[in-house]
Amino acid sequence: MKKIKTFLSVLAVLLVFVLLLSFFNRLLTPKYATELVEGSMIAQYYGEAGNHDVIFIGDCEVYSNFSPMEMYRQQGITAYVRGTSQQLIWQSYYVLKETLKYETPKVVVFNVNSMRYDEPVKEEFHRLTIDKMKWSAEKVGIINASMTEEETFLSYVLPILRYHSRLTELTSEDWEYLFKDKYSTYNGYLMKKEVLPVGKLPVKRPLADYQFSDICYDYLEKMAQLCAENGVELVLVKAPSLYPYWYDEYSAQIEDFAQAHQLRYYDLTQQIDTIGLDFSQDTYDAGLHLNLSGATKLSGYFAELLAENHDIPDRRQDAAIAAEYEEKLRLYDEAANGGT
Amino acid sequence: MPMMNVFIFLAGLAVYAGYGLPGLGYLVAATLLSYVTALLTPRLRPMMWVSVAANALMLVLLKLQPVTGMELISAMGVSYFSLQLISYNVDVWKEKYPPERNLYRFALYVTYLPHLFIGPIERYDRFAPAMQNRRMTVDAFFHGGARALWGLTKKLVIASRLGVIIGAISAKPDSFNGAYALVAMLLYSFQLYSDFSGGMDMVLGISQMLGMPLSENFDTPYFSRSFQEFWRRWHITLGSWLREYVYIPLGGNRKGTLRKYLNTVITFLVSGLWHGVQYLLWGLFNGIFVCFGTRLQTKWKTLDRIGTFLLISLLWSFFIWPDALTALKMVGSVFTTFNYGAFFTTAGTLGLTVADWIILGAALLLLWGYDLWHKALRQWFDRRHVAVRTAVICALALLVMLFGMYGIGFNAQAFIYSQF
Repeated sequence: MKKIKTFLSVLAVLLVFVLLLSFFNRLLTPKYATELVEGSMIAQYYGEAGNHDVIFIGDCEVYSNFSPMEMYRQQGITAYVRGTSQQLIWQSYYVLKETLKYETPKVVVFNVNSMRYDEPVKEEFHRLTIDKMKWSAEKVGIINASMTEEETFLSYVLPILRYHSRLTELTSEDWEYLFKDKYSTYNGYLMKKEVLPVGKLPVKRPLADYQFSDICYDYLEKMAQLCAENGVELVLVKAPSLYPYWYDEYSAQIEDFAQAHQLRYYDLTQQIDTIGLDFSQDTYDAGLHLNLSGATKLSGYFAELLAENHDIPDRRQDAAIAAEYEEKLRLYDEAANGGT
Repeated sequence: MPMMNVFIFLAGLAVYAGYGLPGLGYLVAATLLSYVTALLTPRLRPMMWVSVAANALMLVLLKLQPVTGMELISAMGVSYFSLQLISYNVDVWKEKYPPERNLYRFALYVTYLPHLFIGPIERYDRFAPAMQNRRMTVDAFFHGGARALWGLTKKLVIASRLGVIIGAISAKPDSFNGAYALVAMLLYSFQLYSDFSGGMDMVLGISQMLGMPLSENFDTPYFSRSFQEFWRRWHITLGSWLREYVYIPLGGNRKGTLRKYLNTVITFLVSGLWHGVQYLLWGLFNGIFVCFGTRLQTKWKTLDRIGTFLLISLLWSFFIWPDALTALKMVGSVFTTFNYGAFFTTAGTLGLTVADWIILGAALLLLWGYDLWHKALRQWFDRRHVAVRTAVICALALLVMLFGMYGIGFNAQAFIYSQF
């Protein structure tokens, strides 16, 4: 009896410890609610997963430039963007793998911009992609693939080990969103309405080496294989931007890969005029990413391509989907027509 | 628990190998040399000198590296295990105990993971029986766990924060002198103590969890009334090693007062060299203060303690600044540059936020309280119900996780005393 009592009392203490630890883990992890909202994109998907014909995967060029709401409005395409800031290709692979556990779209569109990055840029960017991801084999995989030398796996399991210094920097957001989340995207599209016209761009200098790394090819190969296994068509795209420069040599390599794997590749940096983009109005950061005006043009153009070349159906006649998107479009238009 | 001992032995080798195979090669070679020469010593007594000379030579070459520029094998913890090997060979030579015939048992003494990198410097006649009778118990597990976590708290909450301030001050000796230098010296006393004794608490705590008590290395040294007392309470195992294998063989206090002073100074010069060739002057000053420090004692204990602490702090300057000349200049600036007003207005720019200063202050108070009542606190802890002990351990773990300074952008992994 005494032993049972001791065991139960120790268990109670450990339970309190685990609860306290969970509380501090939650409190100290950035909420990504009103600042750095890019960090909440991954989690937003879980509430909206399933039933999309098109899934976009990639870095900021997907969540800034492709608006699923416009694609639905113009072509009746149901799409979702699973993009995050500086999403590296190995992260894209695991995000795709996770997505395919929730749904089987007809097409996965992968933005190939990340092919030029074969090593992590900043640990903070990993966190934006990984922090809010649900625990799964894919999360374990993405952590192991992404960690820099200074990081530890444990710091992802126990965010307190990473964010403990925030204890003295907590804001009202941390308390307000302690037990709830706030999402800011429209099917993964992050709306930006500001205009910052393109100015003088840096000189386009030739590079010493244009060859993509083996590691990037490995993951691109894995993505192609994963899509093939799941009966999903993989489409490669390079979103339109003026800078950083997307060299012809880059495009040629993607073209070769696409041909070898019988995939479609759209280099939209070559279609800027056809799309009708005007970088004096359609960008919020001087030519790197599109604003709402630019994303509306691009999404319409790309939705048409998807409908024509990839046989993506128009879902506007489906009553349930129409009702769902009517509400989504209402909120989207409210935001689009509201203040900056 | 023979299997567990095998596991501990292999873990030591594996961790050591992680720092490089050449280093592991040296560790194995030094261990084998010491083992074989000790076996031969009863019949061939000069063999003792082979191992002692080899270990001492390696240590001297390593310590003179900054002067000679000689490329040497980077062997972690060499300063500690070399002294252990020397003590073993000398003790066998002095017939204090017979040589160990079991190579595995002897190798376990050298490679025992908890003490491999920062000590304590154990003697074989104390280590071997303790290892033989090692027994893991619930009480030892809790006591050791709490102690290890308290050590981690000292390291990550106190020493790491102090390191930020001291790093900022020592990086700019031209502008951060006078009051800044004094503050750096005083705070470094706490940094070094928190860092080294924190590391020791971790070593001793983990070892205790394994059922293996190791020698204490600290006994509240900053409560000492003199330098003599300080060196009996700071890095105790090094001090006792130097007394037994340097000071006493030199003649100790048996050959008159002048010779006693000379032997003391030589012993502290050896201690300085053990820390590194750049610390010879520090060793010399310590030797002098040990010889004559008691003459400065008064009838007021607190005054003596403060005086000893201040002098000790001034001497730590040799550890703060990169060379002896800068250190001396900084000590001089304390008495010649009166920029105390400027210090208080710029304290916030020394790398810590107001919150950090508050956490640091609270943690230092906790450290002071613990040092003052540590025996009573340990007894209190040991008598508590296992649930209360669990709660204390959980609270310490949470304290470290929340208030420690560690992680991305902050390297708190290295202990100061692992570099000596």
